[in-house]
Amino acid sequence: MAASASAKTKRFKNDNVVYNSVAIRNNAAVIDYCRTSLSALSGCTAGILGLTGLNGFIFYFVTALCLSVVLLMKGGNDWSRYFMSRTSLASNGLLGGLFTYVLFWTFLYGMVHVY
Amino acid sequence: MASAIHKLVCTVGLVSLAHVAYSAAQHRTYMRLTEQEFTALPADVLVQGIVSLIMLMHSISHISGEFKDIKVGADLDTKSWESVGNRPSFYSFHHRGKALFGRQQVMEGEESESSRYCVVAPEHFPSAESASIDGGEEDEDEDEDAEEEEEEDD
Repeated sequence: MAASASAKTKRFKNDNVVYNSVAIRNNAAVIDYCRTSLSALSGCTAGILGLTGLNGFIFYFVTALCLSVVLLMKGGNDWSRYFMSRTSLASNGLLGGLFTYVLFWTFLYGMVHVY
Repeated sequence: MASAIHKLVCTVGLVSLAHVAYSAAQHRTYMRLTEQEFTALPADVLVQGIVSLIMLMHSISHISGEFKDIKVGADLDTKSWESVGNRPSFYSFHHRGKALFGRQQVMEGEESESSRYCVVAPEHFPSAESASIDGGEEDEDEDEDAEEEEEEDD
């Protein structure tokens, strides 16, 4: 009984942090901005360099990994002040950016290498 | 200021990427005209493309804006109670200061400024003296105040 009560208070303490939803949304928007523009630009680069097939998808995930590292560096040591979890910082919008990437990849490949 | 540098880097990266695209198209045309088989782009074009992408990645991560603190009270931590609990609507100027410092002095700076003017004006400017005849009592009050001021200064 006492153990469960202490566990309850402990859990309450952990949940007792009030978050600012405007700031959370601002941080998510910053991440989204970076992801979207880097998807488009790495798609442009892949199309210009003439990557085809699996190489292009591998290139996307390599650039996404680089961007995750850059964002983690931007967050710095005190990332917990800005984000609730580190994985959301590193992997948010990873698959959503893939479609933007494919769009620009095929467009620039067609512009440079086909026509 | 740092943001301007990052914007410059971003612009340079975009121009460089456009240049890479032009180079690749030229190389493709050259290969077609000389009837060679296209295998891969030359190494300098590849390197320029990847370097410009890295430049863009770095600059965009800075342009996109700063992270904000997600704790609610984060921006209130640095402020004192005097600035947080400030209620301009509840200011009251109807207090003992009116009786203590007379009716014309509100701020210290204004007080010394106006009293000095009243001491100087009647002696050196006859026109000002004739103008001050209308409100003689007030001027006397002000002169007294000014004298008090001078005594305090001494």
